[in-house]
Amino acid sequence: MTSFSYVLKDPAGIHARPATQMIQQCATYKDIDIQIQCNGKTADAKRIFRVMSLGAKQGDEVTFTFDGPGEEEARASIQAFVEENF
Amino acid sequence: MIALKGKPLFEGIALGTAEVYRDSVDSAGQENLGVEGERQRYESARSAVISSLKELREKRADTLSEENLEIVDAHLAMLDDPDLADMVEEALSSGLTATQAIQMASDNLSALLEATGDEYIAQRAADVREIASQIAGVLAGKTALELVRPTVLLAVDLGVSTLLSLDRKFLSGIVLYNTGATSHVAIVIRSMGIPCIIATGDPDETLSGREVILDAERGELAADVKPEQRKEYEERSRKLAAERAVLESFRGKRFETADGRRVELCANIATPDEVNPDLVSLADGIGLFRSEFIYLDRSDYPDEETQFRAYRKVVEAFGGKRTIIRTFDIGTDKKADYFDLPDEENPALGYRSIRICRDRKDLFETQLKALLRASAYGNLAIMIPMIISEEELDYALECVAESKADLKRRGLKFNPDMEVGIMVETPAAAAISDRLAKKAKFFSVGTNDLIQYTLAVDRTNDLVARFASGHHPAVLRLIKQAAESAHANGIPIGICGELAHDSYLLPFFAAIGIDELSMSSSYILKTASELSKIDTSEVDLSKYIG
Repeated sequence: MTSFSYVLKDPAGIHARPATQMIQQCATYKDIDIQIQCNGKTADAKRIFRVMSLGAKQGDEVTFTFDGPGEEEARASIQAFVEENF
Repeated sequence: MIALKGKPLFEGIALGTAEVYRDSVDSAGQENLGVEGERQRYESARSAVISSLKELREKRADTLSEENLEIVDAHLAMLDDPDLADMVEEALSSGLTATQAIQMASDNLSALLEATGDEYIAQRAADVREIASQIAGVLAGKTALELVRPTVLLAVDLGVSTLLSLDRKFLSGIVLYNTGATSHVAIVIRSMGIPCIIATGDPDETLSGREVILDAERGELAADVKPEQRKEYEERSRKLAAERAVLESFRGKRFETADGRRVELCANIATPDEVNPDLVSLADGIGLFRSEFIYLDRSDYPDEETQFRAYRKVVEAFGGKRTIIRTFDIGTDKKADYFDLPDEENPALGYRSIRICRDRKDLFETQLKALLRASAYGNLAIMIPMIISEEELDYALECVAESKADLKRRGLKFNPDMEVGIMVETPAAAAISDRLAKKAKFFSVGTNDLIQYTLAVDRTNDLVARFASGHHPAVLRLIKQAAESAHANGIPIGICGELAHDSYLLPFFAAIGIDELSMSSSYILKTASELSKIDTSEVDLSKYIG
C-alpha cells in the first residue's frame, strides 16, 4: 500500500471539471484499490458520486491510498495529475 | 402582448415559433414486466443513452467547446458509476419498474450531492436528474426533440445534452424555467450566445406553435406578433446587429478620444473565473480585482500559499497587461464569519478594510506576501482601500516593506518594484490627495463609496438612494481635485466605480485627464465607441462642476 497527501489549492476544490478526468484515470487501474480520504470521510476514487460527496474544498487535505499490483506507478501518475489540476 | 417576463441570461432578440419542451416525462401507467424484464429494459435504456452521448460527442466535437465536452464526459462517467448501478439494482430487485428505479436512484443521489451544502456540487445534482430523465425518456419511448424552423424554446428541465443535440441554426431563443443562472445548461447557453431569459413557474402550453418574439434585453416574451411588431423586431434586430458590428470594430484598437487622448479601458473582476482569453485581448488590463472572493465562502483564513496560487493565475493570464488587485475590503456588507466582526450600527462608517489591517497585521501581511510573490509572474500592482490619512498609507507601505524582507529571508521571488496605489473613496482622501500623491504610485477613485460618503447617503437605503447622484458637482469636484494632485505629482489616476462607464461623465473624465477607466467588461466596447467621439478641447467643465 502506498499513499500521498495534498492540500487543495484550486478555489473550486476537488469537484471542478478535472475531477471527471481524474476518476476516469483512476478507473483505468482495474486491479488497484484507490481511496480518497478527506475531512474524516473516505470515498472510492473510481466513483464519481462518492468523490463529489466528499465536498472537498480549497484548503482541505486529501489523502489518496493505493493498494494493489502496480500501485507505485499509479500513485505517481495520479499524484502528478492532482498536483497539476487541483 | 407580453406573454411572460423573466431575467435576462444572455442578451439579444429572437423571433420564432414557440415550442414548449419538457425534458421530464410522464411515465404513469407503464406496465411492470417483472424483475428480469425491467432489469433488461433499464440496461437497454442506459446503453441507448450512453451511445447517444457518445454519438453527440463525435458528431459535434468540432462545434462544442472544451467545457461542453467535459459536461458530456461527466454524464458518461455518471452513467457508468457503480453507485448508480447498485441503487438501481436494489430498487429493481424489490419489484419496481425501470422508470421508478432510475427515478429513485436519481432522487437519492441528488439528495446526497445537495447535502454537501456546497453550491457547486449541489448544481451537479441537476446533472444526475438529467441523465435520469434521459433514461426515463427512452423508457417512455420519447423521441428526440428536433427543430425544423426558427424556434423559441420554452424549456422545463432542459438538459445539456438535449440542448447540445439541437440544430443551432433553428434555435433562435430560449426561455428556461426553474433553472439557476449558474447551472451547467445556463453556462452552455451563454457560451453558445443564444438569447435567453430565465422564468419561474410553468410554461403556458397554449403558446406552443405560435409566433413569438423573445426580447432578452428587456426580459420579455411577446406572443401574437402583429405585423407592426414584426417590423419593429426586424428593425431592432438589424439595429442591434449594426451596433454590435460598430462596437466590435473597436476591439483591439487603441482606446482614445477624437483628439488623440489615450484613456485605458480596463475590467473590474471579482473572481479568477472571470478571466478568459476574450477578456485578456479586449481590456487594457484589470483596473480592479476585488480580493474578497478568497476570504468569503470559507470557514477559516486562506493561507499565503492558497492566495498566492489564486493571484498568480490571474496575473499570469494577463501577461504583460497590468492587473490591479485591491487588498481585502472585508467589513460592512462583505463579512466572513471567521473574522468574528461585531455587528455595527453604521457599518459603512465602521470597522472595515485598512482599519482591520491596523489591528490584524498578520492577516494583512499574509495577503501582501501572497501578492508580492504573484508579482514575480506578471504585471501586478496593488491598491489599498478606504484610506483617510497619510498615516494609514505609511502603515501599509511599512507592512509591504516588512513582507518583502520576510520573503527575501525565505528565498522567495517577488517584484521589488511592485506598485502600491490607493483607492480614493473618501472625501478625506480627495481633500489630502496632494499629500497622498507623494507616497502612492497611483490613485483609483472608488465612486460608489465616494458618492455615499460625500453626499451622506446610505446607498443601501431605498428611502434615500435617489439622492446618491454621481453627477453631483461636489463628487465631481473631489474627483477633479484628486486628478490634479495626481498629475502634479506625476502619478496616474483611474476610476473604478460604477461611474466609470457613465456616458454623461465620460467627456468630463477625459477632459480632466483621467488615465484609466475600469468597468464591467461588457461596457468596454460601448465606452470605447463613445470615447472616440469626444474632443476634450470642446468639453465645458463648468457644465459638470458649476
